[in-house]
Amino acid sequence: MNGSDRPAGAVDGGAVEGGVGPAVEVRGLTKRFGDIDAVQSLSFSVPRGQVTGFLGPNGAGKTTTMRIVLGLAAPTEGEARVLGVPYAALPRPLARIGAMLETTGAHPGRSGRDHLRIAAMSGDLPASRVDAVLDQVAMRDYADRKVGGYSSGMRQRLGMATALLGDPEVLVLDEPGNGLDPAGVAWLREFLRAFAGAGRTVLVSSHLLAEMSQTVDRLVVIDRGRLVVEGPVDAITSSVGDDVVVRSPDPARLVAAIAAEGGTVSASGDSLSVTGVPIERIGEIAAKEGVILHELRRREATLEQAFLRLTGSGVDEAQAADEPPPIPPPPEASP
Amino acid sequence: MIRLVRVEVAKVRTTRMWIGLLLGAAALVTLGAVATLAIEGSDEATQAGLRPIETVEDVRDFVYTGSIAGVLALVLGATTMTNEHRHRTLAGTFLATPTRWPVIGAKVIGSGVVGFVFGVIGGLIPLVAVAVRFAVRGEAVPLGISVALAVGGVGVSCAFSGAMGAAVGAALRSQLIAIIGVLGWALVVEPLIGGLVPDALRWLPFSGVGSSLGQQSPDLFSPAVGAALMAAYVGAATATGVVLTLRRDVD
Repeated sequence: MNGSDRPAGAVDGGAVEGGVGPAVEVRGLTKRFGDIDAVQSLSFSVPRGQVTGFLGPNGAGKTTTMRIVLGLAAPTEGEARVLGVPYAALPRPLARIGAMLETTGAHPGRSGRDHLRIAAMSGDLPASRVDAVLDQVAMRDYADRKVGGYSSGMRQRLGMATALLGDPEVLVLDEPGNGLDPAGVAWLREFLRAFAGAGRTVLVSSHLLAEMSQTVDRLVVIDRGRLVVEGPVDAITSSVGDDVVVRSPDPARLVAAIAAEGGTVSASGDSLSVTGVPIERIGEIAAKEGVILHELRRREATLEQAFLRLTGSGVDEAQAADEPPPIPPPPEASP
Repeated sequence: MIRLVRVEVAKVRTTRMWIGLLLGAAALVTLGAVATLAIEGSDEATQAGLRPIETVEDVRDFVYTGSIAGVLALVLGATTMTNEHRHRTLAGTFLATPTRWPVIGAKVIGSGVVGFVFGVIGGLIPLVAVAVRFAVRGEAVPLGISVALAVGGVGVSCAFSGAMGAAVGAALRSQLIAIIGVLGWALVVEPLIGGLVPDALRWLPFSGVGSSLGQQSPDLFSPAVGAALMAAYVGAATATGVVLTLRRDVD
């Protein structure tokens, strides 16, 4: 997607009335596929009027959980409620919840406009919403083309347009930034902030962690189907703590000495990430051991670092398509 | 339900598959009609049991050859649900209608409506062909209410095929298996059963029940019984599709 066809627009309509209770509530959710527990006793809630990020490594159970929330998959145990009721109990659900999953597609032989017209008809929504959402995602010029000829970014925007068709109170979005160019991602960030600013709610999964940190108010982090942490982004990030970056031509000697002081060291090449030992003490240890340092600096904790430490794994493989590859886990990483 | 039927018809109308299948059905019927008219009255045709088309009843029976269009309506029906699996549009469909069963019902009814259109066109093609043949001879084609009923009967027969295709397609996820399955049943298995067990012919969905509204034969049920059996078959197939769809997670 180039800059000229990037999405533009703002949230339709005004603020919505705040309801009672969370917008999305998941309680004791378990989903078993054969012998595999894709989701295990998962509980979390998504408060109204906020953007909640849903994070986890590949295969953590994010999409499965979202499918259960939306009534597309049945839980083995537990329940999921949207606006206080199971999704299937919502009358005219598209007017309440807008959803975009990676699995919600469009027929390649149908035009984008026809796709939206049919979705509007299915959801008992006014046909006038079609042009409104096409304008909202800047797709009007491409609306009469067959979806089969769309770029991945255009498909994402069509998916967003479909989710917005009912002018919903809640958006449930699975990796909405996939395929969008930087301008599209920036639009998405502004859009979601404006959407929540109008009192509406967003639950969004994404592997674009830097984007998430700028977009979301709260995080729900899961790993291997279980809840890792849930709470405000700042609280989660700060709970992980800053680390110290140490670069040396002889890192092996430093690792042992720092570990002896009770520090935790992760190594990648000649670079070490140290927590649990003050930066001043690390300098003293290096001097005592006679180890040359090329770099010694404090690094503030980021969402990506928090994510990696909380889940003990790499970020989604899909990140490779959009961002530089993550640093591989160090061979002698300490827990 | 009417809104959902309109949705399903719109889904068919907004892609090109129906055009190809309708043209295929028209070509198939035209080919059969022209071939029949070409050999009509010849010794070979007489030996094969084909009578010359002279009376209103002959025209009525000739119109019924258009029911072959039902094969294409069957395929179109089988693709209505399997297309949703193939193109991953089913999640969007069930997000709009999470109770699911009305969607299956609408697909069956919608495919029936489209099948009826296929059938009426399929019934009119032989009628037009034989009318041209009579006109060339300077004669008027013998017409009667039974001819009009035959065109309607072909329409209903093809509507039944379309609806059955949709119901079977709802029970299966694979488009390929659904299409091969319904075609294999209609074109291979049923003729085989009809040949081996002639008494069973009248019970077979497509060769027997589906033919009972247009063809007059002692081997078939009356139109009223045939219509009731059609409804029962479609109902049973739809119920199976609904039960399986409700039990499945949507990918």
